[in-house]
Amino acid sequence: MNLHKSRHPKAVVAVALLSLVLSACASRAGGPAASTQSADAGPPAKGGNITVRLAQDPGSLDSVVNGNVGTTYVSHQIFEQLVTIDANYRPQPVLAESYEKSDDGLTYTFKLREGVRFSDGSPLAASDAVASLNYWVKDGSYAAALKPVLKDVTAPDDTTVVVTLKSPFDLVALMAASHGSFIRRAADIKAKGPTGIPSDKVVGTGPYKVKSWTQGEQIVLERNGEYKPPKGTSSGYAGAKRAFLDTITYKVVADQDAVLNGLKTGILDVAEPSNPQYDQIKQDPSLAVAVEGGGTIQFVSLNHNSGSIFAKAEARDALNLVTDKKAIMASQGVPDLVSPSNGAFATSTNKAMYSEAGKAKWEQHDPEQAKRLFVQAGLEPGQTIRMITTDEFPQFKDALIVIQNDLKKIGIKSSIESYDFATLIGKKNNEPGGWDVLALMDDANPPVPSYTDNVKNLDNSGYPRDRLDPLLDTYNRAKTPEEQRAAIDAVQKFTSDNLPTITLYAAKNYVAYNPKIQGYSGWGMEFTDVWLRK
Amino acid sequence: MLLVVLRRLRDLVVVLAVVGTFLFFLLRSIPGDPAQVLLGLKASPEQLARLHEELGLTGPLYEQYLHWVGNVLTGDFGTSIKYQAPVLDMIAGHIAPTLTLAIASTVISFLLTVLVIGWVTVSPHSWVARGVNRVAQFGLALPEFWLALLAVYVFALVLGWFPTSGHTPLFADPVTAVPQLVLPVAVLVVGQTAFFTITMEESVLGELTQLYLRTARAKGVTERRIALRHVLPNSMLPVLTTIGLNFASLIGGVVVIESIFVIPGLGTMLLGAVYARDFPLIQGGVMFVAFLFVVVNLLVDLAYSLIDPKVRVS
Repeated sequence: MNLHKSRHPKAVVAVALLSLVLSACASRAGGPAASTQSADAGPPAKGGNITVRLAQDPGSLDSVVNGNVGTTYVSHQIFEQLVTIDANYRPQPVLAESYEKSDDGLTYTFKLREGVRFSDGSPLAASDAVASLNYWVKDGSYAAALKPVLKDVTAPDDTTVVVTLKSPFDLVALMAASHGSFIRRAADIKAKGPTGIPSDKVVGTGPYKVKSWTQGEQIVLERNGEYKPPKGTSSGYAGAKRAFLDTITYKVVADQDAVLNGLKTGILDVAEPSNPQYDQIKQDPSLAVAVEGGGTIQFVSLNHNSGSIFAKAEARDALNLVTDKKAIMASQGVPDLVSPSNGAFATSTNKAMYSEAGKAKWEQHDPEQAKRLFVQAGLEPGQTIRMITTDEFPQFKDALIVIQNDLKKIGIKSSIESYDFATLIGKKNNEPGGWDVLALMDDANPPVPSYTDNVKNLDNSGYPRDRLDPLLDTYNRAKTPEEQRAAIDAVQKFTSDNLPTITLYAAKNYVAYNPKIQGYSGWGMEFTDVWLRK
Repeated sequence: MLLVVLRRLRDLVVVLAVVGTFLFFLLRSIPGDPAQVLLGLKASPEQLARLHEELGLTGPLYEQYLHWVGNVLTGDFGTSIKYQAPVLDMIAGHIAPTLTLAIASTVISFLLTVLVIGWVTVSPHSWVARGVNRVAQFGLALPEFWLALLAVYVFALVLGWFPTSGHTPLFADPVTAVPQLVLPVAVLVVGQTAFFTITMEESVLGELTQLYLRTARAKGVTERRIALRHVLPNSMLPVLTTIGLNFASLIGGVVVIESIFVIPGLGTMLLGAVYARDFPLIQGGVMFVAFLFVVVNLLVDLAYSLIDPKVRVS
């Protein structure tokens, strides 16, 4: 046995908003508008409320089955995991006092912290953790990668949880990065309905608990008197948290103008406004801005099913060559919110997962060669490349318009169809031969080294898995950081060589907030350790 | 009178049956799977299959339909897929803000209309009478969303007289609620008053050509009395129909206003349900709006009979 401690950084944030919304977990580059953190703010003090904008009511706070970004934001104030990620994306114990990995990599043993209680006063037991992890593996999307190798989860005593695997797997990294691995009361999991654990069973061990929930309107959290923080300095989701605020009100505001007006007039204290509002907010002295360094990867997914030209490698190479990625980044209009990309499936802020193995090919731009490759791939004269996206995020369509112009310059027709999210998914899944290119975004810090939307055993637009799976297995079996680094580079190179998807650029998120808020670290939408200036 | 009510109740059942059935099949024929929306793009086929089963979205469509009809007949409109709450509870939770907007704006618009048209009828040569139609046309042409944004900018952001958005239950905290209501109600009032005014002005002009007015004048009745006692009440009937239909359409159709002013009303609820493909909530919400349409029409017909003795006799 060896004590296993944060062997490698791992980034992750589970997917958000119907699996597409901006994910909140990301480190901010620089301080959150440091000028607003005035020196006379005084020491941290308890009291007060902040009102945080949610784009929509999440419906449920069960992050195992609900990928809504609101679920993620609120859940992190209420629940804790055995291990979670710190601000550098490294796994750190939270409800676990410690964890160990056996030498053969098949057994993980978690020792629970003693004295931890749920917000209703009931003590945390190992059986709660077992039930929560089993629920996560059974129903959680990201945990699907773990499912085939999981043997069982047991509780030999009240403070010990043992996870046994059939083959080596980087369990701690996945568990820390997945929002679905929150620990709940076993009884609440038993009460699960069709769409998750009911809203009246939202009981966690975190710094806040639900005070009230008016569906479609607002969720109010209040300080959890039972909260017992872990050891260590607060960092990311990890470390000892302090709940200074009496309440946090999450208010549902869909309209972007209402968000901006709400921020300006103090109806809202914190929000993630739209990108076109960035410059206006930045210039407003009554608001502070925190730009997050992580954010999302914007990409185009190529349809590999027969019926699409992109089932052929030449066509994928051609699209990579014809796409002017710099023009796409410029089309986004807000330079502060775009990170130069090199096609990696993680941003450079995530140092462990970031790889430049595919950079050379990604940077190529040769429209004439692209034209020849499209012919080689069998693209008929006059054939239209069908591009689809959702109109819920205008940047997707902006990117497709640039690609459409690039294709037009080499004489290739293309169409763009934009749908609401539900229709888009229906189109993608039910008409496998009915589209060619799909513009989307995903978390910039994936839980496993993999290109977008290609977590093992999950949908990847029909791309065959036979060559990728062994690379992921190598990653999971790696025993040293060097071996893991080599495996990550191998996956990145495979991505570049075969182009199952094409990364366009990395987008940063930003948060606008009232300067009266002190101590805000800019880590996603975390409001523990935050207090109000007197 | 009783017969009229019974007939309307019969019509109500037919309307609800048609609307409910049409929606049931329409929603299941358009692209979009509520389970997929809920679980996201990364959901595995097994997860989707399990959720379909749990949501009752498996089996032949006719079986699902019969199951739904059976539940509706017992007063069970199902459970919202997204919120896991009974549909009727969801509607009850969102109807108050919408009703507040609808009632307040309709009452104010009606009173303003009567005031303006009363003035025009009594003083047909005044500047008000000369300009009312043009002003009303202008008011009708103003896009509601534009007016709302302008109102927020001027009265909330620049002048700071009212909050930019927000909703508080009226009877729970009137002091907070009333200022929040002023701008959204005012925006609705502009369009509605314009619409009612044009309708009522047309009706008044028609009434002024009636022969009984000549008789009244011959008997020496003053113009003011003719206007207020005869013309205005008799011009009210078409306006009542307009008001009734307009009111019913407000119940499900003030999405833009609810969105801009962040009011958690029925329109917002329905829009969210459509995005989430929350079938039970969409069906229940739309059937509720249809129900209100029929009921409001019935009330308008009953009001006709109260106002116009000829209708009562027929």
